[in-house]
Amino acid sequence: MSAPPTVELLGVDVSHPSAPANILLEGVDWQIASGEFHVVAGEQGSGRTALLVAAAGLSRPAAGTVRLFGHDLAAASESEQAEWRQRIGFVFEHGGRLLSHLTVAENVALPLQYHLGLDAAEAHGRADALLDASGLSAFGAVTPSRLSVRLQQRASLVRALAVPKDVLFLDNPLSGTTARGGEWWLDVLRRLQAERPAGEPPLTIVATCDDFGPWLELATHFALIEGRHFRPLGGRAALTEGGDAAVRDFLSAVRWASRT
Amino acid sequence: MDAAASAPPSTGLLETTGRQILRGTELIRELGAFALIVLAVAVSRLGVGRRVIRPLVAGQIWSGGVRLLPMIGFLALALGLVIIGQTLALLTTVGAERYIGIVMVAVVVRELGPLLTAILVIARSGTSTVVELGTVRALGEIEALESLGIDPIHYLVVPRVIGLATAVFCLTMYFVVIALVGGWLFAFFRDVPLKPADYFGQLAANLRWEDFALLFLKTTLFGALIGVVSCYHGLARALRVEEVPRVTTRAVVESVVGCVLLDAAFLAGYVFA
Repeated sequence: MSAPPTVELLGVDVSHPSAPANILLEGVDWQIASGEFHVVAGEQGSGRTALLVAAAGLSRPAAGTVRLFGHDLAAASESEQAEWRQRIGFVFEHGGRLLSHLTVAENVALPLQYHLGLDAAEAHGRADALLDASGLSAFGAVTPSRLSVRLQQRASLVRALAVPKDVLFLDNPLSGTTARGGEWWLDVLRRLQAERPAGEPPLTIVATCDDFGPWLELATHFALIEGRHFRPLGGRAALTEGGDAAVRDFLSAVRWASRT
Repeated sequence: MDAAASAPPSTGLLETTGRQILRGTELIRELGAFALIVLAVAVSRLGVGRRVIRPLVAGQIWSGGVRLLPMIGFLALALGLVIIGQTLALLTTVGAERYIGIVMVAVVVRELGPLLTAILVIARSGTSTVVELGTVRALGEIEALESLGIDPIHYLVVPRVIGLATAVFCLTMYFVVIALVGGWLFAFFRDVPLKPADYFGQLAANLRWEDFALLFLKTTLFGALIGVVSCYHGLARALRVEEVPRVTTRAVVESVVGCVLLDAAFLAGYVFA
């Protein structure tokens, strides 16, 4: 393939965001091509969030190179970085970090107004339509603190995708969801990849999790955080054929028995 | 940032003073760097995200300025009455009532007006800015803005700095007008033989165009300084809940000291110009 990977990490050392001296992962080598669906499993505190933030180009790694769309981030100018950032969506864990002083609809309208220059009426119209399509129209006019964390997380997804994106990063979106809530997320992600408008590059999805189970059907590539190392596992076959104890640790078959 | 915290503190006066001076220079350097960053972002992102930034600036002018009008008006009136009262009593004893205009210009327009307005804005907006931005940082919204491709400084700090600079300028104009009118009202009610025409004539005679230019410069710099200092303290460090009152107080004190030093610099300009 002559096209460079959409996201590439070369020899990256990932450190804790608020303590740059504390290295969580060493020597991460990771290639994510366009249209792939990557899932990374790791314990809480293992550095999976920091890894995702580094891969999305939102933080500078302690060492190594991060490439987005084939371009080296560290060597790029502010305006170039801003351009690539606009093609990347990020959904944070634990409620998605919606802006607390704005309503949910205003949160979704913000990137529309800032990047696309839409006026208030048009932006809010589009935001309402997007929320409607996600079943969140009843919550558009309230501030995020009035919603449950799970609904905030969904609204955060809508906000991340308000302006069309080429890559979507999700930090443990299924944490704290019930089986039904998890279904919602998997259905939405499946539809997002399948219903891509013609002429647009395929959507690349990168997610972290603490259990591979729900992701077995959808994801194309799996990886594991073992201690301070990032270990790519390969495709679905690597998981369904058992694998070692570390892999099995992240495969809890009980919860998702009905899906297999 | 607290480099001196790890060493056992020596308690001699010289050592303490030295440490304070070092901390002071460190602070000036950090605030200066932050101010330059804000300026760079404001200039480089001029016109970006207009639909978002303009309403934010308007909102900051409203909350930092318009909402303070009643308090400023009251204080200006009171001050005008007090100053005129004291000064007139003094001048009457030497039969120099006609110099009241010069005194009002020198005291109210040039010095007290800008400084008192700045202090009121610090008390009202400076404190709330520290808390608001501290909350924003604690909730991780800065990373959220970055993930949306929005520069957090452009969204959070630039509107506040521009809003406060505008607010302090406009509020000072308002303050000065009301204080001067208050001054005349006092004279009127005390049956001082000072005709309004004379009073305002004196004022006009003593106000030069440089006064307006310098007033504009001084007040906008006051407002920008307040914005920079309070935004810095809100964003610089992750604040625990128990630290918020102390940091807010620090921001207030530093803003006041900064405005007074700036005032002194302008005074030097007046005296030597």
